[in-house]
Amino acid sequence: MHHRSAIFVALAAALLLLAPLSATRVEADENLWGYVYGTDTLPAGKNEIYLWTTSRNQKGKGNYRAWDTSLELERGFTDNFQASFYLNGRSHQISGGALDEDPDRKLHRGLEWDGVNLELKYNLLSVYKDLFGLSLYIEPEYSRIDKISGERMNGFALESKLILQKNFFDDQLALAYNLTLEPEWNKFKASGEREKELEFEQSAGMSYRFLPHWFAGIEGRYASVYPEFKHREGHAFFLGPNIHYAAERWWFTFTFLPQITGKPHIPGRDSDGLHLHEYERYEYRFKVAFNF
Amino acid sequence: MRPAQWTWLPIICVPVPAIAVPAYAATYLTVAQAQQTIFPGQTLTPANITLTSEQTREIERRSDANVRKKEIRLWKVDGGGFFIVDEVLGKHEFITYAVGLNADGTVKQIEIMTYRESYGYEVRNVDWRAQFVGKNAAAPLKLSKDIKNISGATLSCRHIADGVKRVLATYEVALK
Repeated sequence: MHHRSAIFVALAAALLLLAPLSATRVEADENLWGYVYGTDTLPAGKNEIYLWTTSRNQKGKGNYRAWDTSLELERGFTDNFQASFYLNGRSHQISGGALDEDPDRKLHRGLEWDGVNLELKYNLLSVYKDLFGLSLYIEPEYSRIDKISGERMNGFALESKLILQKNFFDDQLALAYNLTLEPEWNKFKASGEREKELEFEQSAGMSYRFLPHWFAGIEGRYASVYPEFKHREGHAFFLGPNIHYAAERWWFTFTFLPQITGKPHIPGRDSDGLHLHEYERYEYRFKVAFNF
Repeated sequence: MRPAQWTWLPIICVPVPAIAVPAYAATYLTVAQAQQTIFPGQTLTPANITLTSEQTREIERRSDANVRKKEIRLWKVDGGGFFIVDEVLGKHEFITYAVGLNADGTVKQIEIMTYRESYGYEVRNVDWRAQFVGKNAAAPLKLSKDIKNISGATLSCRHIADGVKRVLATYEVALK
């Protein structure tokens, strides 16, 4: 194992093991969904630590597997404003001509440090008190490993979200919608090539509390990419189930998200009904969080 | 380490806090303790009732709150008044609370009996609960109107306020 990987894993494990031991009080900004965000924020003075793992699988040919892992520390600064710091890791297994743009690419790389994010979220309307919930979110990001190819790079992105939520039946049923814009600027180390693109995504989720502590739902993402901030290169639609469990001090969420339909708007590129150039055939995401 | 190996790290970590952390759930008052807190020294007689469908509809119409259970856990107080044990949804579990009503149907006192949520324990604060004292079925019992919200505990505040509103409507429809 690469020494940086070992440090990352050891740090993650240590924080996860120690967090509940130092807990004296519980607050929760639970994620009912794996991908879609709700409007809740942590109350002032409360903290939460998360571990995320997203597995992205298969490009339609060859072998393609990628893992994105984040360790996130979140704190409520006021009852309406929270900030999070992310430490991100990434790994890839690519072979057999999985990448259309670089069919010879073979990569077997374990977990390495990818970058950092800073997330700021502000709640404007409470889903429990107002007609609907409304939050705004902005997240500057630095990344040093390309999400698709695993190439070394220096990448900067600025993700912004508009988050809406409406609850029904005494808050047992929750619906949420996210509108996301994310401009990215990347420079690849090997080639020196620069690229910029805009990711535009609309996502929505539904979650129902079917037993005390247990929520089940579905979530979907409609994502598009605009290279050079100009023409749309393709789109993909993902839809899948999720399950969420919340205890008093911790919770977890698991989402399985296959690509249902997609199209690369690139001349000569066979789509097979999916957009596998920019995205994968299926993803799953697991989040676990502890409050302290 | 191959990537597939450490992918399971978070799943392995899940049971750790479940084992390491004792339950935080809290039962603050039994029924008998809640009765003595609200009606000290007085005699209470069990008088459970089951609402009819008509009464249920009327209570929901007046209170704008769902009636989840038609069986009402009710005690009559010697000398007038009622003691009711009720439940409302918390985010994860039910919140159990007691409402003491004066003979004229106004709130004498409310007490949180069981609270098992991640947050919102502030609803037990004396000052917050005191807002309900003297309210009758005509009171709005709306957050940020006649009931102050507790930031970070909005869901619990709203559900308890809705619950008390429903109990007061129950008095008007089925007990008066």
